[in-house]
Amino acid sequence: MKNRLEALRKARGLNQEELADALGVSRQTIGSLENGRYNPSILLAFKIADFFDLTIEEIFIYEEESK
Amino acid sequence: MSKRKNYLIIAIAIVLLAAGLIMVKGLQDPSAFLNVLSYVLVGLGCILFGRGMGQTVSARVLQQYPETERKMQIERFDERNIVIRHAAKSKAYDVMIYLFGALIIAFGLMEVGIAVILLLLAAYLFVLATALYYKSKYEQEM
Repeated sequence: MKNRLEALRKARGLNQEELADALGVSRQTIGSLENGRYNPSILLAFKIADFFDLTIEEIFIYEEESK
Repeated sequence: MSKRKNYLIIAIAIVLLAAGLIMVKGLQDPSAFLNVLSYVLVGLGCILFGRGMGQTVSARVLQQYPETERKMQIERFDERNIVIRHAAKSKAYDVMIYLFGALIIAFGLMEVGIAVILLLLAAYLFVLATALYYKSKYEQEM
C-alpha cells in the first residue's frame, strides 16, 4: 500500500523521530511506513490521519495486490 | 511489571534458595530424588532472584530517567515491533514442530528407552494441543 506520509511529514517540517514521538511509535516504524514495507493497523492509520487532520484515504492509497 | 510483583518474586527466590541450600547441606544420605530436587531449588531460586533483582534495579534506575523509560515503553509497545516479535515466534514454532519430530525419530532409532520417547512425545502433543486451544479461543474472540 502506497502512502503520502513522507511528503506530509516533510511539509510539516518534521523529521522521522519527531513524528514517531508524536504518534507514540518507534522511528523505525515511521521509516517502514514511508518505504511501504509495513502497513499500519487501523488504529495507527487513524492516529496518523488525526495528526495530519486528513482522512485515512487521503494518506494511504489502496492498491489491489498483484497475485 | 509492578513493584509488588518484583518483591514477591525476590521473596519466593530467597525461600527457594534457602530451602535448596538447607537440603544440600542438611540432608544426611539423601535419596537421588531429594538430591536432584535440592539443586533444582537452588537453580530456580538463583534464576528468580536474578530476574526479580534485575527488574527492581532497572525500574529504580529508570525512575530517574523518565524520558528513557518513555522511549523504552514506546519500543516495547510499538505495533511493528509486536508484529515482528509474533512473526518470529510463529517461525520458531514451525521450526520446533519439525525439530521435535526429528528428535523423536532419532531417539527411537537410538533406542534410548521408551520413557524418554514417551516424555518427548507428550511434550510434542502438549505443544500441539496448546496451539489448537489458542486457535479455537482466538476464533471465538475475534
